[in-house]
Amino acid sequence: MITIIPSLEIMKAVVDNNISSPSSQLRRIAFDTATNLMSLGDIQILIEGILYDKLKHKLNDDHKTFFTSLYRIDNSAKDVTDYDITKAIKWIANSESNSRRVVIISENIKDYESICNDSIKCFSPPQFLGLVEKAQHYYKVKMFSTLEDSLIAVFFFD
Amino acid sequence: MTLKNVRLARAENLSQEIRKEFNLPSQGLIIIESLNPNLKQHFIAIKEGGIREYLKGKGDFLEADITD
Repeated sequence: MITIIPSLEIMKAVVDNNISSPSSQLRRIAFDTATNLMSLGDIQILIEGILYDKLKHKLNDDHKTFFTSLYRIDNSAKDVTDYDITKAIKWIANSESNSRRVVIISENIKDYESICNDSIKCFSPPQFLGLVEKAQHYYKVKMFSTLEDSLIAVFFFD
Repeated sequence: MTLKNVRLARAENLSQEIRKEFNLPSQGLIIIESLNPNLKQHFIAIKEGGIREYLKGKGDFLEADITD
């Protein structure tokens, strides 16, 4: 059971009209890869509620249906005084880690260092993509019986 | 038609009939759209452009700034 939480810059790369840098491309691939993993095991993507509220301004009705159908929008930290997106993601990641393992994808991994532990990890898009590739390889050569087990091994015990 | 819901599937888990009807590859990520008013289902393969290209197929993203 893994929950993947993308940070603001990852989601911006998915919905901004004019982002074409190589690093933006990696962010989009990381989000696509995470979505692909959802179809391969008990893996969910959680979008923090304050972040989603900002994202919503870029979305038409069909886009919104897509996001609310596929991803968990978590409003737990909305309306909490002094909470920005980073603080909200940290709070939700801590809460979520009581029931599932949590992976945060962010360019600013230092922002989340303080909450990383055996159940919460934070990776940059290139790190995340490298680890997923490694997990897929381990699963392919039958080191693990499921891709999910392989992902847990490389994300949390490597 | 209005998009009412979306699910994910794997092409390899879909029947040959569906793959043929919707011209899907034999493997990969598939988006199943539920559309109103006729409750029709559409199956769409996610290609190289990924989720972003799929979404852009539903209309351009609106002009708005996103800041923390």
